[in-house]
Amino acid sequence: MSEASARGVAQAGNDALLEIDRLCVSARIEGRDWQALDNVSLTVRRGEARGLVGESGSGKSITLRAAMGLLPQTLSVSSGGVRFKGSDLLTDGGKSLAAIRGTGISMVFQEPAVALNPVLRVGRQIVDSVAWRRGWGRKQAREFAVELMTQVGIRDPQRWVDAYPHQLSGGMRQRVMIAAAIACEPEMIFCDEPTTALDVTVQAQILKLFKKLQDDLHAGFLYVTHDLSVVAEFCSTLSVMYAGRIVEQADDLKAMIAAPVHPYTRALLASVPRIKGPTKRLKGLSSSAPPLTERSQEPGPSLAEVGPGWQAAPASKEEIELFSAGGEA
Amino acid sequence: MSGSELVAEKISVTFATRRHDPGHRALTDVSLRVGKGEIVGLVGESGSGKSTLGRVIVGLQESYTGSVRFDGETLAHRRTIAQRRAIQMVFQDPYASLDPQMTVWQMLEELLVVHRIGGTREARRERCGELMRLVHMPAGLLDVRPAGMSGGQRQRVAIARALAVDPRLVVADEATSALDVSVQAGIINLFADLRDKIGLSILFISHNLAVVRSLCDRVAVICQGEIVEVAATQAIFDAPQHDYTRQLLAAAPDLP
Ligand SMILES: Nc1ncnc2c1ncn2[C@@H]1O[C@H](COP(=O)(O)OP(=O)(O)OP(=O)(O)O)[C@@H](O)[C@H]1O
Ligand SMILES: Nc1ncnc2c1ncn2[C@@H]1O[C@H](COP(=O)(O)OP(=O)(O)OP(=O)(O)O)[C@@H](O)[C@H]1O
Ligand SMILES: [Mg+2]
Ligand SMILES: [Mg+2]
Repeated sequence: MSEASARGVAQAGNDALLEIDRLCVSARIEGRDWQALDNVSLTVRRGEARGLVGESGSGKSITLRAAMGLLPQTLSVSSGGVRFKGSDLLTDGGKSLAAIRGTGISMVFQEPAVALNPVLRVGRQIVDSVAWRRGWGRKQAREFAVELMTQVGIRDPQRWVDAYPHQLSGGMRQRVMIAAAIACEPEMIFCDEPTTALDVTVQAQILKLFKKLQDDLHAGFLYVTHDLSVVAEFCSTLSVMYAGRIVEQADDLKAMIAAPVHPYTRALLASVPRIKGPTKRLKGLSSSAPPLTERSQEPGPSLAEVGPGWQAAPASKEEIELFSAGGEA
Repeated sequence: MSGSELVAEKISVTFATRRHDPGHRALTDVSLRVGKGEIVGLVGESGSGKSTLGRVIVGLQESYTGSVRFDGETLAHRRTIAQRRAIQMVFQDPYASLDPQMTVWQMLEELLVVHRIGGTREARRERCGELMRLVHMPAGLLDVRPAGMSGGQRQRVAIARALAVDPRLVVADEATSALDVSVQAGIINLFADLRDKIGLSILFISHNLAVVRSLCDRVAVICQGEIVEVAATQAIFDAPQHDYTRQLLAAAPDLP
């Protein structure tokens, strides 16, 4: 990125839609507090899609849930802030959050079972919040649900609009969640593994739909996934998490994928299975990160600039060893 | 324990969602073989009947027509306890398939007790620790309930549970979809090792074509309830015959 364009980004600061600022979240386990998120900071601008990738258990879902104000009881924000269009989401006493939810911000959850009500027909779950706000009747709401189901590629939506979640396949349930998330034309969408249960052709269709929201409504996305090829296709900026911290992030995703700085980012990219070229036994990490109760409770080192709009955490000797040893997992 | 041959023949399943409904045909005359010590990939459209076929094979979908043979023996729609032990499933949605009240240890122990595996409590605890290590989970999470875990951790619990009873065939339904690529690599290698060392057979359902390519011996492609193509993995990827297979491969994203 040239200096001029880096300045351009800095000037666009007031364009920030979502700002997560040194967010710390702690988990209460057996009467003690343990750090689940350690000073997570990231920004999503209007029309930007930021990928959030990283180790399983590193805190991606917790980051999204904290920003949405949807943390489970055992977890709480211990410090830091979340701003949406400049106003603080966490200190406004939850009130503004309730107002924002469903209008400005929406979320596609990692597991449909968490998000969908098993005893409500799916059509109703898709449009409920919108229909209520717009004062729609049953018929109008149902028509809108069918239209959204068509948009997310569900075949024969008339048949399924009155079905219950357990009557749908995994990928159909996932698309019901996506339909519910986009029903209110949100400005900011949190996506937690939104396409893992979709075949690649439907996935392509959903990504196209997301791109349309990006173009037409300038919607911002914070997009969590393990599928780095999807990230490379849909997102333009990228943050990488490991053990509750962001270890590397860049405003230029392509540059970072081409030359990752942090040893964890490198290890991650090295274990991506490929669709072309020779197949070989994949390299995994020799161990996965420890549970919260076995992690260091000290705050990690702060990120250092490694280029314009590109930061990485300095890696300790142990980390360098752990991640580069890799080999047989 | 060693793997066995599974032959599913002309399986059809129809669901009725409403009364007076002719029903929705989820599977139409599907035949598929998974050899001893073989990993067969099942890929295809969302909603095309993959999970339904998996449920028929493990005995959870009791209304179907056609036959399921395992080691030459035709399985009744209701399975015996030994048959249930021999064929295990890793469910697509771990959160829905795990008991929220139980810790991982309680869940696994109950299973071992039911199937009379492991002897003493200490031996069972040790076995569970070993299972956690196999699926790359920190042993510390044995005493945690599903709600206190991440999506990928729950998915690894589901894998550990399927492997706990020394099955001979595993139906893995999107079993690595919530794992980061390095843990995923570990699970892929684990499955390959179990196939090579003890002859475990696996029906590997997945939307991730790159993973299927690196793990499976053969691949079946399913579209709208019918299998449209079955071939050796390399043949599927190098010279797909059916239009739908070509469409799938063309839509698969890859790293730049
Ligand atoms: N309710 C909870 N109480 C205590 N600890 C929790 C809770 N939920 C999650 N954790 C722990 O916090 C860590 C981060 O969890 P999170 O769900 O954010 O991970 P993730 O990055 O989304 O992983 P995955 O990719 O596997 O979904 C995990 O190690 C998990 O064990
Ligand atoms: N209990 C049920 N009642 C009615 N219809 C059902 C039921 N279970 C599944 N179906 C339907 O059967 C079809 C096949 O579903 P199945 O879950 O097997 O698909 P799948 O190939 O696993 O899809 P995905 O890739 O999305 O998980 C779908 O149309 C689904 O809606
Ligand atoms: Mg998660
Ligand atoms: Mg399925």
